[in-house]
Amino acid sequence: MSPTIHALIAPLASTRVTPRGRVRPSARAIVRARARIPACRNNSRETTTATFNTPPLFNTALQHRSSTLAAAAPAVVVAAAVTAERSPVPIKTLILGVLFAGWYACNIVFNICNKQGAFYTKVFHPSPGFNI
Amino acid sequence: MNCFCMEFLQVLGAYPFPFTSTLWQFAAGVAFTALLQMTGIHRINKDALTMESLRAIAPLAIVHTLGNVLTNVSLGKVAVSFTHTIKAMEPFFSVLLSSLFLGDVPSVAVIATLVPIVGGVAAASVTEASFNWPGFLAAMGSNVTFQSRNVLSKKLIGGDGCSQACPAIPMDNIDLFSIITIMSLALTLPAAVVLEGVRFTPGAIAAYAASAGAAFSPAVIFQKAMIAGACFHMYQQISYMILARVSPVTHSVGNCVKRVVVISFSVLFFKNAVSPVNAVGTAAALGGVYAYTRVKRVERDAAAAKIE
Repeated sequence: MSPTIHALIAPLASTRVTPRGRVRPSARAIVRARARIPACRNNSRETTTATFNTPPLFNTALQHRSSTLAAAAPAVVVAAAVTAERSPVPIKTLILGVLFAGWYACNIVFNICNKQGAFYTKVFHPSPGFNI
Repeated sequence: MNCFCMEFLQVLGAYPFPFTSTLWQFAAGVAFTALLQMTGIHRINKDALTMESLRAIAPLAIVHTLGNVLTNVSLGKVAVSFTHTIKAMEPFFSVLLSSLFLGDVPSVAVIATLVPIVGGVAAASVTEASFNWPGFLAAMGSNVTFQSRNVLSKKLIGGDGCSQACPAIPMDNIDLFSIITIMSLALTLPAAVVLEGVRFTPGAIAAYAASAGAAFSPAVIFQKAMIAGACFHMYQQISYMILARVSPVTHSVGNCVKRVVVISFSVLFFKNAVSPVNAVGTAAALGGVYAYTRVKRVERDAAAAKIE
């Protein structure tokens, strides 16, 4: 292990108190962070889906995956683990927030497309508001 | 739920072909899927294309098709705002179907927070009273079908809110929604031709436009419909990505917030009128969503503490 990686891992060895006041073991945070890295996700789609969506109770592929991913890109894994550990907002929540924003934005863009269609044809549109 | 074709062709008058409208929607979706496949942006996982998984997805395609047709039927029967007022009730259907199919029964506190959300969004989207039974029942039917689709999809893709073991199908939510869309197109095509005749050829569109007294070229209609349809497909695809990460009930609450966001956007940028009832409804809905997220967080922390 290179000194740089060791320096990055060292702070993670201890537990820390999260902003919400819970003590969280760092090892778990590292495993979670590994599961969230896009570069690692591309390695195996089906197990990624399982990691993302299946409760740990049914997740038989997690251990195997974590080990292969760690071998694939250790520096990225550690960097992401550090980010996940230090960030006040978990990455998972950020991704979800971006998706919600994209969901609403697509809907609004789509509605504007429709409205432009109506304006383009110069025909009065009878609908009172947006089609939601 | 949107229906781009209905909305677009309503400019011609009441477009009386809900199946053909739905057909256009799915055609745009399949074109979008094909584009992703050909460009390599996202290829469907071939391992997922087994008879077993296709058999599991077929019921989803049926309810997806029915839900879209029913929404289009409802929009053809009553005012757009009325359809969306009824569709604000989605979270209740989601709770019912989640407990039936996933064994995920929410607490009384969670259900209590859904009351202001549903009531508030219903009040926020109501602009006029245009009640009739076919329109009302079609909108209620689309609630049942879309929420069944979400809950059953959840059963395939797993995650939060799915307390039963999920069948192991090697596909992600993009694969799943792409296959649902392709199957839905295959289901809608014969239904549209049998029930409404061939209405989607350039000649048929031009004839309809002429009969409605508007000078449309079929090419313009086709182009606009495909752009709006691609947006529509993307928006539904993102909704599936969210469904993969949260419970169906939370997803339906997100859909309610979407309605509030879109209404607020139209008020701000298009200067649509807002009545006191709409304003109070919006406030109640947002308050309800805040309460919902608080209750969910408290319950999740309590559950985590129990495990630790």
